[in-house]
Amino acid sequence: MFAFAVDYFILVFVASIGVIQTAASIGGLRGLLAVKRPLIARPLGIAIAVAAIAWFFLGADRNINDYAGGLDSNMQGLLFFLAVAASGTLTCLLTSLLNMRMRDNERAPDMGLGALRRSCWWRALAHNYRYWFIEADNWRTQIKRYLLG
Amino acid sequence: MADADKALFAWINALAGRAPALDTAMGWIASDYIVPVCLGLALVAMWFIGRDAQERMRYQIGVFTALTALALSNLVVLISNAYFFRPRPFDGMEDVTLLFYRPTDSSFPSNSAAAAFAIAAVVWRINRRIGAGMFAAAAVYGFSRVYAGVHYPSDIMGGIIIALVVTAFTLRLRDLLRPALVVAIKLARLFAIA
Repeated sequence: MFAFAVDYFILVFVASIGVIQTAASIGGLRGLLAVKRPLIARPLGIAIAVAAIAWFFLGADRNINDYAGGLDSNMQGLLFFLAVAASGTLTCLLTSLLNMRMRDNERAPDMGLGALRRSCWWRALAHNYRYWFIEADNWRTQIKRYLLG
Repeated sequence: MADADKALFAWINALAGRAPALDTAMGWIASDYIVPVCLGLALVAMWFIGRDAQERMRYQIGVFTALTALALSNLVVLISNAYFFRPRPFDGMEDVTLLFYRPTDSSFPSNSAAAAFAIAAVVWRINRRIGAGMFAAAAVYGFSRVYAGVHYPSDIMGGIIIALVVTAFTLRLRDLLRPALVVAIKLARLFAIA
């Protein structure tokens, strides 16, 4: 079961890296792209996802019951979540290194993923932190207003 | 009714064993992994594809709603299995071509169909194009399960009905929980991950 779980984790991890690249190019999130040109990133992401699925199924017989070494639905759900979280984290960190020069100089930050249209994830995070916790007069009130407004 | 169900099963399952390539493809599709993983990856994509903050918020609330519908449909099937057991086709009929392992849980309702159609139905309410793709994947998934000899057609229909009822309930629930979801997504936006 452990080997199967590892294979499943790798499948979801690699495939979701590809899917995030494709989705980021569709959403115009240039800061999340490992390849600068969205028209290359899109098919490349799909190819990565398809390759991961092909690797998973061509490598071994995957029609296995959970008590015979397969995964039950709870374990599948947990591994899927962990693999997507890991691939999202890796994508953010790696593309932050690759796109370090992308920065948004506007004073008020674009909230959320929208900031990644003009800056990399790390700079967007730093920009948010500076804006909310250093430059804002009263960050507690401002964040409360932002969250509940 | 039961005879018609068995006759339809026999007709679809008789297609198996004729073309090895088709059997391999159906075995892959019917497996517990390929369609659920693809539907999950489509939800991952939905998290990122919104073109502006409003659209992203709508899609991201949709992802939470789809996951809730998935969990609730699993719960309904689990409760149903505790009170009702229907043997699998390969246990109740002769000359079944089985392209799958031998599941031991109840054949009715189909958990896989309920889960796949629940996700597709929620996404259909948010984005018709992606929803239509997901419905197509769920339909092929359901068909492949009958083809592979692990479900009767009525099991799939039972799963679809559960999915639609659960979806209607989940969409109501979403409307009630929207303020909390919006706060959670706004909080995630502070970290540039939503």
